[in-house]
Amino acid sequence: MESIALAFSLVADPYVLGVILASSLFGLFVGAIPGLTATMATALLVPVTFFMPSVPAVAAIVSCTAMAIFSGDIPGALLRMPGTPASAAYTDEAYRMTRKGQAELVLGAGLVFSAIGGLLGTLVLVTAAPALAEVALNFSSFEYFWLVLLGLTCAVFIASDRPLKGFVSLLLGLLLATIGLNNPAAHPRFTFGSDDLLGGISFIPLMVGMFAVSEVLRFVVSTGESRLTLAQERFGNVFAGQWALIRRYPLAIFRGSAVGTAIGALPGAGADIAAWISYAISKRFSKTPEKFGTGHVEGVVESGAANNGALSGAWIPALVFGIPGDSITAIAIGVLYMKGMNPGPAIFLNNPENIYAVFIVFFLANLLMLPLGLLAIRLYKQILRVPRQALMPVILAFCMVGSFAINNTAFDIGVMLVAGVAAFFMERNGFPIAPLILGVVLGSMFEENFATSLIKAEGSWLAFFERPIAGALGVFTILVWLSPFALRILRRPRP
Amino acid sequence: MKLNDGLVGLLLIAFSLVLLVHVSAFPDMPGQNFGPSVLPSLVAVGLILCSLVLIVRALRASPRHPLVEWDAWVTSPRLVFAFLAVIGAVAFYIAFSETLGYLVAAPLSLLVVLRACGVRWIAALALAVLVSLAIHHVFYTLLKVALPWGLLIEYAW
Repeated sequence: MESIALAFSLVADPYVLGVILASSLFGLFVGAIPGLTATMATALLVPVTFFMPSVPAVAAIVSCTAMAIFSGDIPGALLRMPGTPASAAYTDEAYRMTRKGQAELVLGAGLVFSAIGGLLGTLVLVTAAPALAEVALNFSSFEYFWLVLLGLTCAVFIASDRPLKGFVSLLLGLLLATIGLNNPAAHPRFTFGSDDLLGGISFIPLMVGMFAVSEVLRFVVSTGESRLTLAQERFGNVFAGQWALIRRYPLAIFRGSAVGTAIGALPGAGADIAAWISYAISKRFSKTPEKFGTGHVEGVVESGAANNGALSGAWIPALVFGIPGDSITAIAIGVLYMKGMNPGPAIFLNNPENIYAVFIVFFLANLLMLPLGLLAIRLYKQILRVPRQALMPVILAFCMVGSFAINNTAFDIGVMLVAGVAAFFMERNGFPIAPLILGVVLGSMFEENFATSLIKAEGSWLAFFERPIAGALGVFTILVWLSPFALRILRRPRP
Repeated sequence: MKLNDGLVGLLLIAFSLVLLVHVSAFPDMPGQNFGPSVLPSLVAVGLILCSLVLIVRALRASPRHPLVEWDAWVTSPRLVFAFLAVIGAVAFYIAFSETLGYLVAAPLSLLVVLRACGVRWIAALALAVLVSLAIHHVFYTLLKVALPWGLLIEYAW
């Protein structure tokens, strides 16, 4: 109880509230511009949060991403271009509604159900995370070994439509994680005599390069992008009719939030996948599936709630196990470590007030979304007026200084540049970036627990399955590996 | 630029073989079966297996994809120049920010990138200077990041 009161006082600090407001506005802006993603917003924000105390640093990331995921809906509805990948699932549907003269309804639905999905997802986070942490306190290296392996597996099988290429990305990420002295024998691996590499590849410049610099490069070579024309410029009351939607689709809202939160909690699968799956579920169980694709609000309601629910869900494994639920929490975990709030079950014991403060920020951000989101919709024409050919170079300049700022070394700007160019070519060749990032984040955790477990097991592989939870996790992980083969055999036509 | 998946596979196999040779020189941990070469070796083996599948799929694909597909922007000298200019501008900053100082190197590289993105000269000049100053204010003055002064060390504030 005492720590909850302390948490409230931590958040009520004018400095923290100011950070929340500023990063919310930043998130709304970045999410609303097509081509700038929520992950990119986070990557750009991290160099600044580096210089803040832990609670405002995490608060900045939480509020920025929640806003960016919502505001990605705006260009979807008005330009038929998703502002962030998480809005892509229902962009066509939303745009068709705008074309039918229902822009207010669909924008309002995006806003209201994003907030509701985010709030319900947060409720799950607040209840599930401490309970899970209680169980996780007894985990040994065996459980962690399987958990990390399961996380890496999910990243490949769920998060990508091309598991093979996702796996290659993941392996490359694991390899990047091995650079430096951080290994069982403290042998300098792959440093090639460079002192800068002894501590490993700096994670934040790598992220900034992969998620922001690659986007700048893509913009620079984009051919003949025509002027963006809005389908509608002035809006009436976007909240009109939303109450009726809540009463008409209570089950869809609940289902969207629940499915979104669950998918978000799976390592490697984030808001974009949650939205796609929820849209499909919504169509499957709808009373009027034939209306989907013609400008029907039901799917927007359900998947709009799902992608914001996923944001909260992704923090469950991130906080409890240090295993990121998506690329955004992968960045957030980096921030948590930098701020001495090391994720793991003990985080709820050591400084619970910090974690409760993060929870409060989640609620606050999702409530703040309603007025600020309304503002973003109203000002959207002006937001779009910011010329992207000037914005992209500014982003690049910011990336350079931000990458430098983490360790005060120009070497890290080099890491950023190489990562940016590499991500540019990887995406073009169909290799997804997210598994690589997960590999980098989880690489040392994987190696450490693998080594500890092997030493403890004294050569017996059975030891990996002897403890009940470890055994269950192990069997489950292996089942996930076998699932593609099993599916192939099942689908094979019988003679 | 899109490479044929089979070609990517071959490159990855070559890389993995070099990797395996390189890690075989890593020292063992006395008395333990888990040395620093274990994880990189597993990665190399995994990469080789994935690459073999990539190659087989590429050979089976019909119609066969070309070895290298060039994107539209590669045929436009302006866009190729813009692409290289952005990379060059960052490389320039990495190489010279220490000696020239942030306030010289940053506006110069920002100017190049702005021009590469098609911003007109006057606007690009003004933006390059103003944005560099603004970023300097945020990171140097507010966040206390030691941005290099270089040539301007005498005027440092």
